[in-house]
Amino acid sequence: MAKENNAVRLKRRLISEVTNLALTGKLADEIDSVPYSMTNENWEIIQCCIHHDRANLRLRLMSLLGYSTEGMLDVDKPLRAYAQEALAGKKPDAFPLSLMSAACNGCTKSRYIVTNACQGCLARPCKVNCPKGAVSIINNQSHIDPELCVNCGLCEKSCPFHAIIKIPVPCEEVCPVGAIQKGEDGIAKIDESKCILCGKCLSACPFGAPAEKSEIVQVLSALTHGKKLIALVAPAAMVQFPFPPGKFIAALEHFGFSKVMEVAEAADRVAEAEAREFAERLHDNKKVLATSCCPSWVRAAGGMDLEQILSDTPSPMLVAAKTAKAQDPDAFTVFIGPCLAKRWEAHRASQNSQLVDAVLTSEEVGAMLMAAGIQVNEENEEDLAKAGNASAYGRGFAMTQGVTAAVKHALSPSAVEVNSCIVSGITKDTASQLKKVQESDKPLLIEVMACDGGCINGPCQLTNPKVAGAFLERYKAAAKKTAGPMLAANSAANERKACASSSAENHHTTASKSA
Amino acid sequence: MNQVKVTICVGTACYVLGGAELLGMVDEMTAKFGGKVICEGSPCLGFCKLSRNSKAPFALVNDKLLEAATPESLLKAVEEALSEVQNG
Ligand code: FES
Repeated sequence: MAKENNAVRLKRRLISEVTNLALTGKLADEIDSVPYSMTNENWEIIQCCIHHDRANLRLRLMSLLGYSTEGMLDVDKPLRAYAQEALAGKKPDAFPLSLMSAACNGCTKSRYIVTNACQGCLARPCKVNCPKGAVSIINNQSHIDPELCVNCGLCEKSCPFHAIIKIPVPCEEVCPVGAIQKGEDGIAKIDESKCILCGKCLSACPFGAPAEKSEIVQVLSALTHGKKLIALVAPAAMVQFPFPPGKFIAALEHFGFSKVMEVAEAADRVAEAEAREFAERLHDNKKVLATSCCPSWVRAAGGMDLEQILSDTPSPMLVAAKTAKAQDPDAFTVFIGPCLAKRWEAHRASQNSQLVDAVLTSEEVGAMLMAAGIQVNEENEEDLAKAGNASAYGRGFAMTQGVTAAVKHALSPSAVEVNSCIVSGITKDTASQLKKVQESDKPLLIEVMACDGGCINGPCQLTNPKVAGAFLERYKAAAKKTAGPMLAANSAANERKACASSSAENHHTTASKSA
Repeated sequence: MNQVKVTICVGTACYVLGGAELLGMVDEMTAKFGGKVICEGSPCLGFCKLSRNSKAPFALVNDKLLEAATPESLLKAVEEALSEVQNG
């Protein structure tokens, strides 16, 4: 996946500019000049002219300040005013994604076209196979009548020369739940009730129109006001730099975090709790449990009417934040991960109690370290034990199959034989697939990760998931704690008794269906 | 000396602005060119400070500096360097 492109670079440079200004106390005074200073050296015009580009830079800065950039906006309100609100701690609303209508290219509706590779052959499978009679031959070449075409794609599949191609709308193409669609005016819109915040459109749109509502300014403001910042670092975020995690931890401390905690330690406890929950469900004769650590999946489960199979166990982020707040109620907790949906999860959880004060993405943290001129490799490697004592299982949550491995390990003392179903990346087919398997009459653990490959392939990652995967293996191997998550001996014994009946008949099968 | 030396900056600015993707190329280049190309990561080369990051990521192919390097531009520069080495 070619993540690194100009749209991504631009976003990261803007994060870095904003960080610089905030750290030096000049954000409110100077933010209005950023669209100008950015465009004076070697600026390549992106949209029609430099004025349009500057207007869009202004909108991008607004989203970095946490504001929505959808539709017609108050163009007279200076960025300064928005910045002052953000610096005063105003948080973005619950839905962390907005679509910058002004940056949207209004791509033409997705359609099939015939290219010059068409040979005007005798067989004419395109014409023969078209169910709508939309293909005709003009001047010895196929021609698709857009009025009649229903975008079924049969002509494309049947052409032996691959002469027919689909021109997609990138955002619509990648959205697994049909939440992003072009409106009447051709400009894309996000249906918040359908959107699962997987972030696929963020990477897919070549115009960088979908934008996150960031919380960087709230974090920087807390830092400059002397609050005690605690970083809760997801396992996937620990392995974004090509250096040992101990150096990344040191870099965060250098930046100003008072303390760094590895969320993987909480993940160990989550695996134990989910194992316990599973055993209890089996006791109640419910056979299926789905993991709940991926917030995009939690949102998707709502839309698929599958909430009843979701585990009630809170995510590792919330468990870690709870620990942090218990130790220090005045601390400002900042979760760091490659995920967009965590921001929503943190917001939702805050209705009960304020556990996670802000969420930063790996991408944002990378750009903030860049702004501060911190070289991760030059830091003195911190002892990982200072950040926590997770097992390799907890650290494995970052990658597909990791949660399953951890929960199964925790269940191993009870005699329950568990089947698993792994969904690595939510697609358009996930709903029907899960509807089928949830009828299982054997104990079934369903793990769903919205991102293909798991969190290391999150939409806001810094590094290529293949590379991050290799670093994750090293991080797992460095675990000092050798015992994985376990049901407590006592409760395991009870649970074993409790679910003896349900496990007996299923003892023989361990199948793994993978998606 | 007919090897080509590739230095990829993994300083923070370069890494964040695209160096991570260049690093992902190392395996590919080793597979493609074998021992003819040697790749190494380098701490901040110092160029980022001169350009307010606008030209990061930087990479060196022998002594030639690549600005705003992409996997494609890096590969092209390596191929050019290889053909220079071979032709004289
Ligand atoms: S980080 Fe690459 S030149 Fe400084």
